[in-house]
Amino acid sequence: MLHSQSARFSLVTFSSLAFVCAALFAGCGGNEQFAGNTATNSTAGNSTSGVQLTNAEEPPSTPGKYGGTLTDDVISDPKTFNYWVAAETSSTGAVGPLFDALITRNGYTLQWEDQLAELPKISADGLTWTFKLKEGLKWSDGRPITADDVIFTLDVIYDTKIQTNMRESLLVDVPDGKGGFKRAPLKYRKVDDRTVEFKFPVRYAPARDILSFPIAPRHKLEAAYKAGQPASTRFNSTWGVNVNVKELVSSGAWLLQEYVPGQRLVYVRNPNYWKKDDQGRPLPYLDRFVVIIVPDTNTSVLKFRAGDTDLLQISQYTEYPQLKRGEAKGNYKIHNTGPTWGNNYLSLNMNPRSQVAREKPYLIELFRDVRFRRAVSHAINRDRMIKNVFLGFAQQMHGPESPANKAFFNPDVTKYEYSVEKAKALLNEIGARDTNGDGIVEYKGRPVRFNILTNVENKTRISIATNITDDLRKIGVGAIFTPVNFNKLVSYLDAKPEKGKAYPPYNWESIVLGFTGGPEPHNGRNIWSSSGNLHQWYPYQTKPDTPWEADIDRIFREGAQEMDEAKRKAMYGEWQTIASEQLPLIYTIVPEGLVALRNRFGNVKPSSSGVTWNLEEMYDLKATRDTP
Amino acid sequence: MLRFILKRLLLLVPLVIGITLVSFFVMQLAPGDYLDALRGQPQIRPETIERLRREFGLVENPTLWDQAKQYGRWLGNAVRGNFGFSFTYKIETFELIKQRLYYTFILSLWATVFSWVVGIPLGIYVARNRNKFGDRVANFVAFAGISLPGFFIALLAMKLAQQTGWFPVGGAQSVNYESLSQLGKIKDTGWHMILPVLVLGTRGVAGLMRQMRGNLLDVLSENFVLAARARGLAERKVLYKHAVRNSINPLITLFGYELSGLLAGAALVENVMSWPGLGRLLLESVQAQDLYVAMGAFVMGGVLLIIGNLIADILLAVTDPRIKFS
Repeated sequence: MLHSQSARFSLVTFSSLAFVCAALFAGCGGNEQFAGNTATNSTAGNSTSGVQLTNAEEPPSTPGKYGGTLTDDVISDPKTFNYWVAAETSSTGAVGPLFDALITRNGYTLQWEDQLAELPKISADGLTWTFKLKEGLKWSDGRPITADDVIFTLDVIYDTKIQTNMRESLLVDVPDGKGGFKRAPLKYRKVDDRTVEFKFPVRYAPARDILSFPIAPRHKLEAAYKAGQPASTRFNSTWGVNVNVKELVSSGAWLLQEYVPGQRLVYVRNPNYWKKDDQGRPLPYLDRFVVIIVPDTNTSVLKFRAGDTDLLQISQYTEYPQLKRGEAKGNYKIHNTGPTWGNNYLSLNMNPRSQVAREKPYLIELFRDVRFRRAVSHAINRDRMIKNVFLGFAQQMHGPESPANKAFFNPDVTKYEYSVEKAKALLNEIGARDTNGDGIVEYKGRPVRFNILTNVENKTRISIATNITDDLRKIGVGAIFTPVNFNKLVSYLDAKPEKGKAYPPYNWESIVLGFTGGPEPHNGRNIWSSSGNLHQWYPYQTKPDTPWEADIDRIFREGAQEMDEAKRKAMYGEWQTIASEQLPLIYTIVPEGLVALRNRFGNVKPSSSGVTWNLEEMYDLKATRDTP
Repeated sequence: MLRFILKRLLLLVPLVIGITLVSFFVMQLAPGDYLDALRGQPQIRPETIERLRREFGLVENPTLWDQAKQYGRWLGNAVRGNFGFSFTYKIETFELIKQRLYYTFILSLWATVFSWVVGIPLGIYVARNRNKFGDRVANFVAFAGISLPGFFIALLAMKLAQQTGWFPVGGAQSVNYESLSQLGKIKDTGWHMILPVLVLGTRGVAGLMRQMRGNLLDVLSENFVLAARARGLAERKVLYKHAVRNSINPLITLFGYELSGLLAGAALVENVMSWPGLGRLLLESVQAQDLYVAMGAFVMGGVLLIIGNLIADILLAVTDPRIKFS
């Protein structure tokens, strides 16, 4: 099982290990009230289980004293300290505290705010973006942070010899006129020592998102980038885990003081950190931030209960009652951080060119009938799932966007309440009836039986799939649950059309999976564009298969170029409505986040970004010093 | 003697190659490769995966021939001392293993010392007090020690540490390790090592005790012991000078095998008790299908094992005058 704690610092880069991890959180909170009719927008009850869905104001900060340590844990070792080639959350999480970007999303409101630069000036045509770095910025070793660092970072990222995932996100989606996108780089130039200018090939709404990459220190990394034959490849192994951590200069709140493999990461205050508190005093308040590396979540819990750590991301709901009882004795509180970014859905194979379509054409025909998908959604007893699997710490989910996404979540999507009758009525309408009395419905003379796959490594997903299988049996759909290895699962889903072969097999019937999302909906284009490789139910379409897929294509195309936030919200709201009506992915639940934190800290502001997103302004209530 | 050692070292070569061959192809049996973890990410385009696959020298859906070529390349480089790059860490495999080897080594070493220092005297004690209360208790505990899986004992030990606070909950160093004096550092590591060593050594203690008891009882019933006693030798002399010496020989042979069990057990204990050794690196790399790190770790484990066996053989020659290398 590949783990990843939720990326503590990389809210903006969301280097989610999408399928693999979906670290699961428990949260307290109630079952959501819902109503609604099949295929029409619901008229009652938005999902509000005490968690604010609209853009909430960030609670005010209080000035703190200097001193103290916060100790956290993480499941796996960083794989590299080179942020620009890091490929998973254990690495980006470890260097995240060291490298700031030009701008970032506020971890509470998710609104954009300044970081190393002020918010950008945008030209009237929306194509030219100018960033001005703040005055007097310094790396932790005293060297100034300048436009040259920004330019250097982009040179590195755009160099195809560098193994970086950031290049991917720094390419702009330009409509190719055929309904898809082609990918084009940005133009960038240095205006003066503190100013950089970016030119986009088209108006691009997710621009802020892609321009929030971490800035690299040129004076430390240029030598490695320029050196070596073949040129550039040395950069990939520079700042590996065997580096002397003193080499890692910082523009963020923290400096890495010590890394012991398999043991811990120790951070201390960056004396040159640009951010000050309301009274103009330097941040962070805490002297040290320690991250202990543990092998699994069981050890996390033990360490927290032994008092070794101050923070626990509760990933196993069964731990909750016991941890709740220990609150007073352990002097901690369990914070509900609301719905998380992860989702879980059931996907039916609707691909007419798949192996399944050849062998069981009636099944694909059934899956392609929206009434069948709605019947399935009605049949899923989400409340039972929430109670049994998540001990009540989850919410129902009917659309593709998590309520955690305050900026884009549409609460008014079509909802499918649990109703065996409605599900059966829909099946009857299609002509799927149990004619021979064996408890399984027949469609076109064939019994409706199919496999539900999920990856065996993810316990929560297995419980969800088991619940769905059971629910479907109740409406006479013979689902069979088969857990498989994650890599095996991926090979079923993602096979590229090869030359010479007619079409890859896509030999799966249905799958329970989940993606970890982020605030920017455009990042889901590979899932939602009909030509996308993760357009699971029917990938790599040359032209949209259905009118509603064409609609979604249009929304993603136009949404990427709409600069007006309100209009964008409405557009992506429509996408969520279409997705909930057509149900290409049948969403189930979204878990709530639960984090236990010792009571001795101030400025605690739990949000969907966790509880340490504002670590630099958190302080120890017992600290006494007035200066760092 | 020297010739024997040389011969054994030479034999090491085909053995290590055999180990790598088996482990390489077993790892290939697992579906997919390292890049699969990236394939499900919405932000990563298929083109990127293709490019990385080329750069890493991997082949999608490899044939046996592809795998054989890949193995050949790896072996060729390994012979020249280059064990390859880690896909995930992007640095040389050997650098990674170096970081971890020390911890596995000291853990295994102290666990061996512990099991011999406790197991042998205990075996002598229970053999002399056969079927008495102490023997019964020790036997019961020994069977429990042998039959309980190592990881389970490790979990219990972790629970004990958390409940009582007597020992640290996993890990090899305190958070403030760097600020300690030299003596403090040694004490700190020692304190962290107590539980892992106890857990890892328990099985060895149980096994050695049972073996020692059996061997000693056998030897004590032999005629030469009877003869020694008949001549009026002091019981102490009979026991320690003659009987124990004779019954300890087979145990030295066991030592080599012990070591393999110890390394396998260490991997489990390391993973449960946050001990930063080779086992954790190995598990992580196998899970991520980081092929060359796993291979490097297998080679290291294999070499340790073979050297352990060699040491056992040499010890045997030293203690048993009947054995000659020729």
